[in-house]
Amino acid sequence: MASWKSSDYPTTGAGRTDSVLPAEVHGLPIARQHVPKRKGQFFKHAYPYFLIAPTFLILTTILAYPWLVSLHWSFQSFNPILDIQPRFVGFQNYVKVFEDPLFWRSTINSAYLIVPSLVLEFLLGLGIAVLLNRRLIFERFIRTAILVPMMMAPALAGLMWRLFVHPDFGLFNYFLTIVGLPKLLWTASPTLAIPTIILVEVWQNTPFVVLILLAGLQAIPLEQFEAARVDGATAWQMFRYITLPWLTPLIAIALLFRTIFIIRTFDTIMLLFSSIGGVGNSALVFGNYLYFQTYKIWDLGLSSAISYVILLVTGILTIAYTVYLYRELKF
Amino acid sequence: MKRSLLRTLLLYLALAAVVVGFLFPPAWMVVTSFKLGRDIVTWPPTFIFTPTLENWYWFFFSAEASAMAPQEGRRILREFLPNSLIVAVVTTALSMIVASLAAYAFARFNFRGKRPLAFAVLGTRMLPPIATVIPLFIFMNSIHLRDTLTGLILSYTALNLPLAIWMLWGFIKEVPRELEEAGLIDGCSRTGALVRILFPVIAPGLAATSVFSFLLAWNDFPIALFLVAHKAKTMPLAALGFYAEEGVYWGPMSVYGILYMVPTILFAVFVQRHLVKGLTLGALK
Repeated sequence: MASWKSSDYPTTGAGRTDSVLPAEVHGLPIARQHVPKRKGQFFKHAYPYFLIAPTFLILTTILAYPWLVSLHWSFQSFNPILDIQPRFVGFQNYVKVFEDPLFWRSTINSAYLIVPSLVLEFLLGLGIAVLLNRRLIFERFIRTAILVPMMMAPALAGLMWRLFVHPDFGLFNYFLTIVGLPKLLWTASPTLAIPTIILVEVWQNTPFVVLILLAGLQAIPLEQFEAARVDGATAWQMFRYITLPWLTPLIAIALLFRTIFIIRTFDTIMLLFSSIGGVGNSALVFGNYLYFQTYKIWDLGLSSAISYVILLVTGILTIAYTVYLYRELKF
Repeated sequence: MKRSLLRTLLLYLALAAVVVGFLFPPAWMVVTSFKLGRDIVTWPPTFIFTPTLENWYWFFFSAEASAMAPQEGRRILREFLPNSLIVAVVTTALSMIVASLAAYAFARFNFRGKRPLAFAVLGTRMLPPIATVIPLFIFMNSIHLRDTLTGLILSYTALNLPLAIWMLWGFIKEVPRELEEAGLIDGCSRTGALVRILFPVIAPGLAATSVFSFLLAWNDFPIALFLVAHKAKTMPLAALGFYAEEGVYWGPMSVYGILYMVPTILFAVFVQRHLVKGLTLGALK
């Protein structure tokens, strides 16, 4: 990793080659000028479209088309397994979702899960990234250790934490008693259900934030700090006026993906708790709500409507980042 | 000098805390796999105990469902594990082929509609995965691919393409165009230049992207849970089998957890250098 050495032609990490190499000559991309002439104008222009055709074929048939079909079904009541004839019900499915107290319970729980998790992951992630942003002994070992939770199946994380926070023989309670605190019920307590999930989420996903912010920190040109130091800037000023602006797009990306993926939280909860929603539905979030309703009622029209509501919520939560990234990202 | 020594000491103490914090849960699972049932459920938790291979023995040699767990250990090894491997490997191969072509197009050509198309690809990654299970369920049911490995492979490939394309795009961007041009001048076809020149250069990037494709399929629980009834069960679904009315079978479950975790750890060691670039979506300029 040579990326923290200031250099005009960084070889790793920063991906800056585009800015130093001419992408185009005489208005045409260099690569395209060498397409053999005999193949004709049409083929020349069509070539990139051929390359992306398989991708769009797969994405439209397996993601876009099912989502559209699902939109259609969300206005029907139907069950493909029992072969019950679909019937049009208009907005009834959506009304059912919004009138369901369980849905609102899952919304409140999701908010209670998402906000503290994102804040903690961001703060811890930034802190750890700053700690790691220097030459270290055991550097490879430390980085690998950090990758393990992030790459692990969320279901598996749920399993091992269930053992860890078990009220009767879990290590967590043991540590608490060592420092003189009382044993806690963790997943068996309605008030601690969501904090327990936050704990697991933060454990598993802080590494993702660390990696992305670390990449951002390493891409900052050192000259900027040197210039600031010459001008007598304080450490805080350097952080505020150099580090933070450089990190902003990375922070947006990290938070965007964390938001999308924390809304899906499902595997962890399924395996962390004995019942789908925990004690008294205290751990019921969007994902579990969808699962619970699907397997209880078996009306895929209703389930489709719930899917669309979750999609809508995700859209609303991520629109700010998305607009920002669409403006910022260079293609 | 004294002060900087103290700072270094504090730095490494903080890092040690971080590493221990991240590694403790999996490590405790490994310890648990060598404990007898009664050593697992004691209070206070025991750190010194007589290690046993009973849980491991059950996994590899149990003739049928025993008193140790409601399901059969060997079924996990003979059905779930191969299923998971097939699904993950085929998904990886398929998405790497498709994604590398698209990434090449995005990285090397300027064409009409590139920006919206690129954003459409990224946009599919923003679909909340848990909500996607219902559309996928209905779709796979209608084309009779529910409860098949093919259905799982197609689903994972589609979900995987956006990340794979964005990672590969980043890697290809870093390779100077002159390299392929030299090949083209020497009489290579465009596709030939891609396969013979570009791919070998971005091999580490291809490897890191493959790892992520593999893990997406390997780690998925919700899609498998909805799409699979009994024929195409994959590894994560086996986890539910250790939960029974009378409690959780911790010993065998820990062995299962370790077996399930092995590829993850190997890959973590393997990709730690290469993955950051891909994840940042080219936001670093």
